[in-house]
Amino acid sequence: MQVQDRTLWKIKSLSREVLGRAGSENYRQKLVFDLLNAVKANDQNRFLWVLLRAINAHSKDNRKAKELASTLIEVFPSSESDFEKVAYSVILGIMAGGES
Amino acid sequence: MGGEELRFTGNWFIDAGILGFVNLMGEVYGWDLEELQRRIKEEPEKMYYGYFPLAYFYNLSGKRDRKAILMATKEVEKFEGDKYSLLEFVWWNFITEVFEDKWVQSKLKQMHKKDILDRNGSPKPAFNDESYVEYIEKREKLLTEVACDNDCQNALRSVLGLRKALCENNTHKLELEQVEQLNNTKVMTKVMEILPGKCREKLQEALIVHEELKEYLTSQWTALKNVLSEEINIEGLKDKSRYFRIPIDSGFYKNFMFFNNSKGILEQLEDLKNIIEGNVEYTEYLRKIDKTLSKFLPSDSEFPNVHYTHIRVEPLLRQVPHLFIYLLNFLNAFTFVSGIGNVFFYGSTLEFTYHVNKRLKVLVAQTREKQSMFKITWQAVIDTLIEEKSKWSLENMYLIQFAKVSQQNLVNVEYIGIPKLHASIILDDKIRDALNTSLPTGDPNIWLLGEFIKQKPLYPLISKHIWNVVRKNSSPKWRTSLYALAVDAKLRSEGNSGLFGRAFLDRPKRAAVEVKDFHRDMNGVAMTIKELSPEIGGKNLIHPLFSALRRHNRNAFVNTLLKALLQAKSRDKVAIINSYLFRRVLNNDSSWEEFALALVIGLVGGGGDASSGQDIVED
Repeated sequence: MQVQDRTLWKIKSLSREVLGRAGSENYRQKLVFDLLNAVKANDQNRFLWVLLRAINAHSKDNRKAKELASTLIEVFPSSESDFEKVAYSVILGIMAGGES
Repeated sequence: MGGEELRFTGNWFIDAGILGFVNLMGEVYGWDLEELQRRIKEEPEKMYYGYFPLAYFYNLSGKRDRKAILMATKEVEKFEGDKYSLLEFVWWNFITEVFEDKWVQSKLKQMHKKDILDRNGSPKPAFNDESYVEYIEKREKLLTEVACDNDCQNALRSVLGLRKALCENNTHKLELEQVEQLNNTKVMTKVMEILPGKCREKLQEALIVHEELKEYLTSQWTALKNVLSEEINIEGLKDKSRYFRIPIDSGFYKNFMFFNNSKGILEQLEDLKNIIEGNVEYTEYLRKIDKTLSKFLPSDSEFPNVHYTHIRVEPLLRQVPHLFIYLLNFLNAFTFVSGIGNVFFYGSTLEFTYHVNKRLKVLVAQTREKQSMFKITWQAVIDTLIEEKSKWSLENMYLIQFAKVSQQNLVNVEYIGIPKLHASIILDDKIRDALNTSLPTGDPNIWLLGEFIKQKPLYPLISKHIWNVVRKNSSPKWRTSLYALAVDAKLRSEGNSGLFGRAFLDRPKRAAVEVKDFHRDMNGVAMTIKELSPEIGGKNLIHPLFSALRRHNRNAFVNTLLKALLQAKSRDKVAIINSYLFRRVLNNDSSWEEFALALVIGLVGGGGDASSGQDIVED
């Protein structure tokens, strides 16, 4: 089943809220870079590992982090094209975090 | 009573006839559509029973002497009387007049008595006139005496420059053309010089008989005018009706009504009257519409079930009272183009079709080089759109062409139409203007609008163009490229919606609005990435991004771009691009490549050495 646009919007929005302001600018750049490499290699395991580690580090008392994790559970594992969409939604969410 | 103004019916061959009627009246009387509509409204009877018959027969006569027309126009204008008297007045006074030469020639060209007699030795109906037969016999005898004398024949051949024998089986083989040639003073002097004495007198005598015959025929024809003043008895004319037949012929209408060779001048007039009236009781021919009347239709008797039932005219006549007048004018809708054949552009309204065809005629006449008919037609359509400044509907447009009529069949018929969606997009001035350009792609330049009308995808062409720009380090056609991509994206998004999808049901305007939305988005993001290019090393991105697009690899494209964007300092600009990537590239499986290429255009148009930016014109 294809991931719906609504879900992607949700993932992007949650990623922004949970990781968009997490750590320093350098930290976030490094995180995005790692995630981009995982998507490029189409390595779902690696992508989830890097992402969950980051969420875990910033999930203390954060309801949104749990929501993000549970949404991700719904869509993973996924087909190559869906993975691409989900992964970039996460990445674009994190990159959008600097915006007010 | 006022007449109803002309308008299209939706049936293409009736509409072709209506346009043909408009064209005919324009050609003969110089009236444009507006003037014609006014006259039809004010004086419909004069139009259909006076002006039309004359124009139609004048056109058939091939005569181009406008005197008769000018005089007739004045006479019809001041004519007072009922419609039938008007028709007879025009018929006997003016229609006969325009056919004088043709009729006289048709009689003069009979060189041998045996050709004008039937098996029993009586004159055939078309030549049934005692004096005429006598003249033909006398002329033939004299010409035979000259042509069948060996010495004289040789002299004649040398003067006329002929190789063929002029005498066979003791009969001369001279034709009207040669007799007319001999009648010329210059030729005559030369002939008399070299012709042996024994033949001179006979030849002179033959030419005198020929002249007398001509005068006799002319006076007979001119006397037809007296039918109206009753100096000639119509009853008396009945026996001679075939003799006085108006010599008309048509490869398209073949034997239809007055074109039929068996109809004499009185029957032709009666046919004309009933055609104008639309009198279905008159003959079987006026009760049906089939191949007899239009070669585009099947034969009623051979294919009776094609239209579920025979097409009967009666109900049609209630909608289109002058149906037969229009159907007779069918061919006048077509423009002849050498090398292609007969072409007719058919749009949804009379006004639009009229203007496009008028322009088409001008363009065809002006064009010396052999351009494709497709391009000329569209040039005419676009010129008309621009000039008329009207919101013509471009839906249901067709180009109908046939090469010729042979054996009563049409040769090489083509109907070219464009889908409603395409038409509605062209209607928009901005989009059309952007696409109406020649695009350098490395090979020969491509007329983008033409490709669009042919329903070819534009993305590959824009991709080629941009690649060409990158290779040559030139400037891209920014506005054209982005509009083309926006149009292509719109068409792709409609791609799988089925026959009755949104494209079919939406009002045409909607499509253009969406194309403009896409264009606005593409243009905005292309400008943004252009400004960002120095920060992210845009020039170095062009090749990997192009490569990803060529491999249809969305992952590689987004990945490469995002990595580059990580280096950017202008966060607001990155946010714009990211939002675009999310909405238009990631969440868009049908047309992500069009939106992605727009980003590359931004980089090419702005970054590093790849552009001088001169050609960037924005709305």
